[in-house]
Amino acid sequence: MGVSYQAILWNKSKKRYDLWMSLFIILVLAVFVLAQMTLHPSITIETLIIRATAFTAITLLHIILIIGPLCRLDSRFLPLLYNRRHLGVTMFLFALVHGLFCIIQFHTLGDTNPIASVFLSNQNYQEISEFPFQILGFLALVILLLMAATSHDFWLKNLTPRIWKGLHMAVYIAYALVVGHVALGTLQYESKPLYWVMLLGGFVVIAGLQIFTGLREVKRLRSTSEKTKDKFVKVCNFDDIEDSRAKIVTIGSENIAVFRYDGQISAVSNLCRHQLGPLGEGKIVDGCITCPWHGYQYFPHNGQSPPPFNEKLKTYEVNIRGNDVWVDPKPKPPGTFIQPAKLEGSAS
Amino acid sequence: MNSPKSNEFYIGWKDGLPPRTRRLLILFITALFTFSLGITYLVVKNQKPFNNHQFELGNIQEFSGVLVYNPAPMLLTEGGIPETVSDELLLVGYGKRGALGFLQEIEEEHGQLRQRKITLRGTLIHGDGRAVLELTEKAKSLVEADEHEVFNQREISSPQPFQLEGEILDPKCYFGVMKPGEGKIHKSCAIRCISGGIPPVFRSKRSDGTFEYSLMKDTEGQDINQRILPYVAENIEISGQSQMVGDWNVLYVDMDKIRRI
Amino acid sequence: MEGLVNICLWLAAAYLLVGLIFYLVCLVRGMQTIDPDTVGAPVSFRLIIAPGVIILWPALVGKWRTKKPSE
Ligand code: HEM
Ligand code: FES
Repeated sequence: MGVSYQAILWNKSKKRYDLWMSLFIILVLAVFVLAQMTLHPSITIETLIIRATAFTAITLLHIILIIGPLCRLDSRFLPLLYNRRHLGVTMFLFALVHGLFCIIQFHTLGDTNPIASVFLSNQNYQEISEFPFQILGFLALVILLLMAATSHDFWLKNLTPRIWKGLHMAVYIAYALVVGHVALGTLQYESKPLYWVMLLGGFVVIAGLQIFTGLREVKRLRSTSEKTKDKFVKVCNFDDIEDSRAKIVTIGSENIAVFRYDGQISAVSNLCRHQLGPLGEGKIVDGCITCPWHGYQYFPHNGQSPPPFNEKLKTYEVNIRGNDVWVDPKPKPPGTFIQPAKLEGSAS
Repeated sequence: MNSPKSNEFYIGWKDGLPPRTRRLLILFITALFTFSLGITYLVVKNQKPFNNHQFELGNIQEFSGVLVYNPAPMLLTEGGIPETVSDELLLVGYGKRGALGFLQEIEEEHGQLRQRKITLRGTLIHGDGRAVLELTEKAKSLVEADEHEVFNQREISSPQPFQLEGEILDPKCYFGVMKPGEGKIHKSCAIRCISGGIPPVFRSKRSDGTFEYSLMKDTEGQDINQRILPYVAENIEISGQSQMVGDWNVLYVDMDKIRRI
Repeated sequence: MEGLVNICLWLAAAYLLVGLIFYLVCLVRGMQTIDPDTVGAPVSFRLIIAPGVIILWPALVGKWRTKKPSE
């Protein structure tokens, strides 16, 4: 971004998002606490805090993990993605309170440093059912901490979007660790099989959605054309692209969004400079390519964000022959102006 | 081919929700809220119930009785504690510590207290027929001490061989401080407590389904806290000689014969 | 095992302490050499990136060295 940073940027949609998120959390906590107090009145306040925060955190984690594939399934879910960052940081804060309370409750006031005690108290690695599950929770918490600590756009820029994205993909490792943490911890104590159904059910839904949408993606992203002339590659028919929309093509290692607007064609990198969102699933709004994820904008002819922003996308040479759209997959440096290709005899 | 199924396009910073997007989201959020709240209730409903043991946190009381150190630090009181529990108060320290260290500090100041009638302040922990006193005020827990030695008359049975199946617990958490104070989720804490000097207690099931609680020593009558740490909170079988000392059964455990089940 | 865990904890503590010092130094001078967009950012922004700077200081140290303040 080209304007100076703020701590948290709120707008109307984000406020509405956070409002619904808070309402959800308050309701879950209310039901959890009231049910505990009526069904298990002898619960201690420490156990109540430990369990309420753990349950809230794992619930939010599941929601966070299904939003991505839902959006790929139907773009109408995209508003859920818009402020997912706040959902993530909130989830971390709940996990943090849970972890801290567990360390205080189970490890302080003893003969060993409390954090060392997380690793030293139970050392039975031989038997699966006795495995030191708290270590798994600890490692998950470290990953979630890294993600929450780097959630500001400052980090996106300074770690580069690619590294940032890689770091945030670690959420799947964290999720796996949490599943292990619960399966080898609480579920070794509780006796009702319902808990296994819930934990595995959550896993099946998340993994299933990911695999399903992943396969669809692979099919869609497969290189569509083998026809090459000079350096240009034929990608599609002009009419295959809806007006103000794009077609995403992968040629070699280049992921390209080919936009049609006002009877002309421009091609830019498909990866949004913000969080690598799929620009080709965006739309041209007010003359700018608009990212479907958080609404970053770029001019189609040179890949530059309108001032005061200064993001720049790689651009590609385009060409229309007859009714066919051709793209040169060799990228130009970010921000390079490319003459849009016009459909011959086009009215507009 | 376009992947977005609908032609609507949401720009978060710009405008409100397009109508079809809005309809889908209302549906989704309603379903999500209903489902999540249902799950929340089911999670709590199916939870293993807690025991009714009590920790009278914040209620410091005074108890008088004869102090003994064997088989574990105890105050042999004459009533003054809930009728449903033994009047042999097992002593434990503040936090995850045994009482021994604090009692030694007290003795350094006030002289030997063994076999003397003393009054201690602390927090009562009790449940399932047993009572434990936490020396909440650490080395300041002594209220007064009688000068004369008292020879208590605890009944001591002759040793018998035993073999039992069950779980090693830390009595402080189990008899009231924590819910739950047993099993896998409490394992680390029990290890910390026993390592810190709280006398280990073995819980086994009698044939009628009630629990029997026994203190644990090695065959020489020495403390075994550090040696049994790897077995704490696991389902194990132990054997050796056992003996009733007052209200407490004492197991003299053969370390070589501990077996995980 | 106990020795190993304690060494790791000390190393982690030392690493985070360096991060904390780096963060404090950055507050006084250097933040703008890392990222010019931080100029004029409010105090709340500086607080919100604090945990990240303390944990990930090695990722920023490089930028701090290679860029001169005049840039
Ligand atoms: C320092 C890190 C952590 C420690 C020491 C820790 C420890 C524990 C302990 C001792 C329990 C059993 C508590 C009880 O039921 O009374 C537990 C349960 C649980 N933990 Fe963690 N945990 C940590 C991190 C996490 C994280 C990051 C998550 C992620 C969401 C998590 C999710 C859960 C869940 C869902 C349960 C089961 C619910 C419950 O029984 O309370 N934990 N954890
Ligand atoms: S990825 Fe965030 S706006 Fe494009």
